Amino acid sequence: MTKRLLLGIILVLLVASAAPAVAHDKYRFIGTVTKMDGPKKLLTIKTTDKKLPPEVDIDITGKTRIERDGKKVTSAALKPGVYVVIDALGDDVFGTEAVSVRIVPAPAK
Amino acid sequence: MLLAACAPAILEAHGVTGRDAAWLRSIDGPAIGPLAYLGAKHMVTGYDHLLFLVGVVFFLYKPRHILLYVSLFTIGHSVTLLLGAMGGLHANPHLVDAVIGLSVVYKGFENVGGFARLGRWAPDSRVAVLVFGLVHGLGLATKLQDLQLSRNGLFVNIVSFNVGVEIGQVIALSIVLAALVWWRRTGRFDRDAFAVNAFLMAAGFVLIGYQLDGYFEEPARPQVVQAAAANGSAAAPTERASYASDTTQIELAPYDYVEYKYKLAKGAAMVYSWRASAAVIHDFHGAPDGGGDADEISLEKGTKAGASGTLTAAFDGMHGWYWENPGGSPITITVSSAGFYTRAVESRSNRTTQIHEVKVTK
Repeated sequence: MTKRLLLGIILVLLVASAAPAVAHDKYRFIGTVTKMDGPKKLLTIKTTDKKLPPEVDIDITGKTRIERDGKKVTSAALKPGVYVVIDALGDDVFGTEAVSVRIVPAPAK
Repeated sequence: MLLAACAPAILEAHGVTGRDAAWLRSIDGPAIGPLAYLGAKHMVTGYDHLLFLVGVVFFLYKPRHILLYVSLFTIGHSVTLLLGAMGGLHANPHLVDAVIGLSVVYKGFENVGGFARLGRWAPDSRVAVLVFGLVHGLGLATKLQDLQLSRNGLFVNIVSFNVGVEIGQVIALSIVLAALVWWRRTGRFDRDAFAVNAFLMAAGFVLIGYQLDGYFEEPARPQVVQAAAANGSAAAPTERASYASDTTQIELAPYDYVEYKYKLAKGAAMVYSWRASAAVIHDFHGAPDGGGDADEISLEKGTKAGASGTLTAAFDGMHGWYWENPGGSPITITVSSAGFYTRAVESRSNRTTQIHEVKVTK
């Protein structure tokens, strides 16, 4: 019984340790795709905002909506050079998951 | 882990929020039925209170024992609900909710025999239920205090809310007890009791973690200069605003968004006008102090290049615009306003925030 109790407490503490991770912030990343790592589902973009790192990695999940002109497309459309607007959630800029990725025309220079 | 993953939506959903909160702020006078309904709704959907109650009745078999413990819990939360909402007894809502999480952990721990196994001393469970009942009541009271209810008909409304809470408790308890009776008859109760109470403890720890995270993340409250009692409100003190004006120009990069909002107290008014160099997606809205995204109330939204008008704040909080550039060319927005606000805050999509000085008229 004591063994079970200790095991239960360890399990409880493990679950509880995940609690702070639930507080996610919203991020918007705008920029050009430099890499899409298919197996890792990791999208790298070169950002335009000087207050963000020059390059950021964003996780693409099964729930991420990827669209172009309002229509859903697959992650295969995220080729290097494509301009994207990404809304993501994460604890900080280095650990975010994309909620949506919109492929848009690059701004006029 | 599943519990932690589901937690944000569940935890955000708790409390008196959205339309209920807006309606409560607008009432002026007794509203017995609606308040009783809201009290019952809060209890039935209040997972923290329900988890504690499940823990309390989990190993109670005799009706008189169930009646005793539920009465102690009821007395506890009724006392602090009335004292809190009527007498101004106030505590930080995050810390109160963290202690409520602790109450859930305590019941789970007691139910798995934790005190018996690990220590010689255990709190008297009747006293513990009464004391934690007091804390649960304070939790309910802080939710009502944050809404700044009108003093007109306040006593009747608070009592009605409390009656609703008790009705909700009876409904919830009936369902919980029916489920427990059925479960005990299946023969799996003894085998699964440990796992269920371990889940209760885990849920309690998640609640504590979430609330402490909210407490440490909470921005510092503005300087208190005006007592709530002075303006007839039952709520926490608010910031006094002088007449101020502001003109700001905002550059919006392609596809980017910005939020620009003023801090207004309930009843404070402002006039405003904004013009953009091209059409922008906009949402003119208010965000009550202490609320989350779900509590924001949209006043007007659409796509256009400018607007003007007046606003009287329905609650203490930030009021202003979300503007998004829908196209690939930069846009400039010029906003001018005058009114009884204390500051303007610009929040960018890169999570930077800038506080703008407003010009105060003496």
